Amino acid sequence: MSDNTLQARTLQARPSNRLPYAIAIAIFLLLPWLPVNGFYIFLAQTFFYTAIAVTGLNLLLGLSGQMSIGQAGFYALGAYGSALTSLKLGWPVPLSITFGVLIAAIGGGLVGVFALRTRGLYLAMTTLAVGYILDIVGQRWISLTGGAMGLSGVPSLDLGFPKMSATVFFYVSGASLIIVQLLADFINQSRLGRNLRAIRESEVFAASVGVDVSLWKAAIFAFAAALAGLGGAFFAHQSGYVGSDAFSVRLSIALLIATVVGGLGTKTGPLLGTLILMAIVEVIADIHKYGLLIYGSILLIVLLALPKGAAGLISSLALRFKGGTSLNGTSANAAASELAPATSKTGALPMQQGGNTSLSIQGISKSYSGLKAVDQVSVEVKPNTIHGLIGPNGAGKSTIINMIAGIYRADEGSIHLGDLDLSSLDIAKRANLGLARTFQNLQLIEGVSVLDNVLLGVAHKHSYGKDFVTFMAGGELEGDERKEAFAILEFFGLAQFADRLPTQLPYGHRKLIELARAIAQRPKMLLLDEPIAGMNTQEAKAIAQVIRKLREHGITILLVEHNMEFVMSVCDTISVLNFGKLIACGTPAEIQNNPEVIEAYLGTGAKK
Amino acid sequence: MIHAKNLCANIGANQVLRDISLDLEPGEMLAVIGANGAGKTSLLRALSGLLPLESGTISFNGQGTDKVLAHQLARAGLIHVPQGRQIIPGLSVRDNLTIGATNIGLSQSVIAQRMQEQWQRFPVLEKRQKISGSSLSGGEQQMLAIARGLMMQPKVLMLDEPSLGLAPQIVQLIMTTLRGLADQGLAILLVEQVAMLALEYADRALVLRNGACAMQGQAKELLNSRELVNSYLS
Repeated sequence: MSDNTLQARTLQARPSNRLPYAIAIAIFLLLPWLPVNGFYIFLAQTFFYTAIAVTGLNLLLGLSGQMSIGQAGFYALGAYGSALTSLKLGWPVPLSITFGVLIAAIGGGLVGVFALRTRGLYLAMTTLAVGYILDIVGQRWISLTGGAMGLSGVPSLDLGFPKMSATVFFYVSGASLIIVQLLADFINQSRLGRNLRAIRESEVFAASVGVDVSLWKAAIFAFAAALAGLGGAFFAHQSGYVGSDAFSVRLSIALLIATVVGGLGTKTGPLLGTLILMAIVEVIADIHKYGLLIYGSILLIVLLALPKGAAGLISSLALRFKGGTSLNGTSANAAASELAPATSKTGALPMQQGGNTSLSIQGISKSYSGLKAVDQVSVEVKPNTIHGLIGPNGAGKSTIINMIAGIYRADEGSIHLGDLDLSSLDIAKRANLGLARTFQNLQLIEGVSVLDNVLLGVAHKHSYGKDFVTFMAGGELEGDERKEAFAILEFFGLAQFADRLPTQLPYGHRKLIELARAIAQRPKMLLLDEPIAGMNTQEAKAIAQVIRKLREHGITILLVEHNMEFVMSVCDTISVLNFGKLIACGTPAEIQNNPEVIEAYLGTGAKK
Repeated sequence: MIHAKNLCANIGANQVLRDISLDLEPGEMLAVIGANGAGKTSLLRALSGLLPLESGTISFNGQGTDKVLAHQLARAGLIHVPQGRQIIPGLSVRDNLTIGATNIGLSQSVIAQRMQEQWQRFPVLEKRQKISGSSLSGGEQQMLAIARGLMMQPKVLMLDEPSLGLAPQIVQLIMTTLRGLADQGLAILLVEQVAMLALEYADRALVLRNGACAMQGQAKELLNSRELVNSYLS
C-alpha cells in the first residue's frame, strides 16, 4: 500500500453512518399511525426516556470511568423538579422539564465536585449515598413530594393537543433520544470523548496532556445527571403520577445493568441495554420477588462472559460474518508482517518545535512525614541538551520528576521553564506551558487508535461548536489535527500503524506512540521517566536515536533511567542523586570516575 | 544443594532473567549483586518457585523443582526471607516467629527448642515477644524475619536486601550472624544492592546487569575491581 493511500484512508473522516438514524427516524415517525396497540406506544415512550438516562450513565462510566450507583437520585430530581413546578406553580410542561433537567445537572455537578477527592470504590459509595439520601428525602418530605402516596395529576405533555397527548409525548421523548444519541455520538468521536477516556486511564495522565481534570469531571457528572433528570422528568409526565418508591436504589442498579449489559463505552450499548432491561422487566413481572436476583445473575454473566456487552457481541459477530477484518478495516493477518522496526525512517518533525528552553531547578526540597526525600537539590538543564538524572534506589529521582511535572509541590525552592516560574502551577497548566512527559509505566488510551492517542496531544484548532456543526453535516472532524498527528507518526516511523489499536502492537512500539503523543504537545521541555524500561536492546537503540533527533529539533530533555549503558550513551550531562541530595553533576566520563558516585552505587562495607 | 542452569524468565513482555546459572553448596554464602532493576529479586523469586521460568532448570537437594510449588519448596527447606521483611502487623513477635514453623507441621517440642535458639541469637526479640510485630524497629523486624526463616529448618536461606534502610551497627550485626550461620553449614544466598557490603561477607558473588550475569568470582577478587564499577556505571 502506498503512503498516499494509507494517509488518505487514515485521515478520512470516519464515515458517520447516517443509515441507522434514517431508519430509526422513519419507524419513529410512522409508529403512532400504524395500527398498533397503545401499550406498545407506552413501551416505546418508556424505552425513549430510559435510554436517555442510560446514555448519560454510559458516557460517565464507559468514557470517563467514573462510577455512579446513584443515578436514581438525579432521575428523582428531574421527576420531582418538573412535576412540582408544573403541578404546584403551573409552569408550562416544556419549561418545567427544563427546570427538572437543570436541577439534576446542578446536583450532578455538585457530586462531581465533591467526587474530585474520591476514586473507585469510594466514589461508588459516595454516589450510592447521594442516591439513598435523595430517595429518603423523596419518601419523607411528604408535604412536598407526597411521599409514597406520591403526587398525582401531574400535567401531561401535550403541547396544546390534549386528545393526542400519548402521540405528542411519543414524539417529544423520541426526538429527545435522537438528539441525545447524536450528542453522545459526537462526544464519542470528538476531542471531548478522547479527553474523557484519558481521565479514565489516569487523572495524572489526563492532566499531563493539559486536561483540566476537575472541570471535566464536574462537567461529565453534571451532563450524565442532566440526562438522568430528563429521563425522570419524562417519567413524571408520562403517567401523571410520581411516587417515591419509583426512585429506590433498585432503579440505580437497573440503569447500571442496562449500561453494562448493553456495552460500556459503546455507541449502541445504551439502546441495546435499555431494550434488554425492559425485556427483563416484562419477563420477570410475574416473578417480581426474584427481580434483584435475576438482575444480579445477568450482570455477573455479562461481566464474566461478555465484558463489552451486547454491542461488543454484535460487532464481533458482524466481524466474523464479514470474514475477519479487524476493527478499523485492516486485515488482522497483515499485522505480523508489518511489525518491522518502526523507526527506520525518521524525517523532520512536521512543525517548529522546542525553542531552546532551559529548565532551572533551584534548591527544591520535599519531605514525607519528617523524612527528607529531596534535600535542597538544584539542577540546571541547559537548553537543547539531554540531561540524565540518576541515583540508587530511593535517591529521590521520582520525587523530583513529580515535583517538576506538578504532581507534588516542592516544600521550598523554585522551578523555572525558561523565564516562566512553574512552582505554583498545577499539572495541566505546566503541560500547557510546554512541559510534556512520558510515564514509567506507559500511559496510552487503550480502546482508541494509535492516531487518536497522538491526537490527544495535538492542540485543538477549532471550537467544540464548530466541530459539532461539522459533525452534524457529516464532514471531516478535526481534519487539520489528524494531518498533524499523522505527520508526527511518520516522523516516528509509525504511520503504518495509525489506525491500529495500541494493544495490537509490541511494547516498544507503544513506548514510541507515547513519545509521539508527548511530541504532539509541541513541548519546549520533555520529561522522560524510564524511557527504555521493559524494552529489548534493539528497541532501546531506536529510542536513543529518536531522542537525539528530538534534541536536534531544539527540544530540551530530562530523563530518569536505570540502564547505565543508555544513560551514558545519550546524555550530554548527568546529575547524580543519593539519599535526596545532589552528589555530582557532569559529563558521562566525569560521572563514571567520580568516587562519590561509585560509593553511592556500590556502597561501603560495614567493617570500615 | 541448589543448582540453577540457564534460567530465563519474563515479567509481561519484559525479559527479566537472561540465561543465569548458579551453584550453592552447604556452608557457602553466595552474594547476588547488581544495580536497581538488574534482576536480583526476580532471580530469588524464580529460585523460590514464585516466578515461572521461561526456560532453564533448577535442582534443589538433588531434585528438579519444575513441578514443585513454592510452599512445597519452603517445606523442603528452601527458605526465602523477602524484601521489606513482611512482618504481619496484627500478630505478636512470638506469633510472627512461629507462623512458618507451625504451618509446616513441626512438633511443639521442636518449635519450643528452635524458638530458644532464636532468642539466644537475637535476645532483643525475646524481650519483645509479646508486643505487636509492627511496633519493632526496622532492624528488629529484619532480625525477626531472619529468625522466622530459621525456625523452618532451612537447608538454603535466601535473603532479599536485608540491609535495606538499616543503621550501620545493625547491618554489621545481621551480616555477622549470617556469616556465622554459613560457617555452621547453612547455604546462604544473599541478594544485596550494597555491593561492597555483600562482598565483604560472602564467599563468592554473581554480578547481574540487565537480567544477565555480568561477572562472577571470588568475593575478595571482585571487591576492588574496576570491572565491578563498570558493571554498575557504564
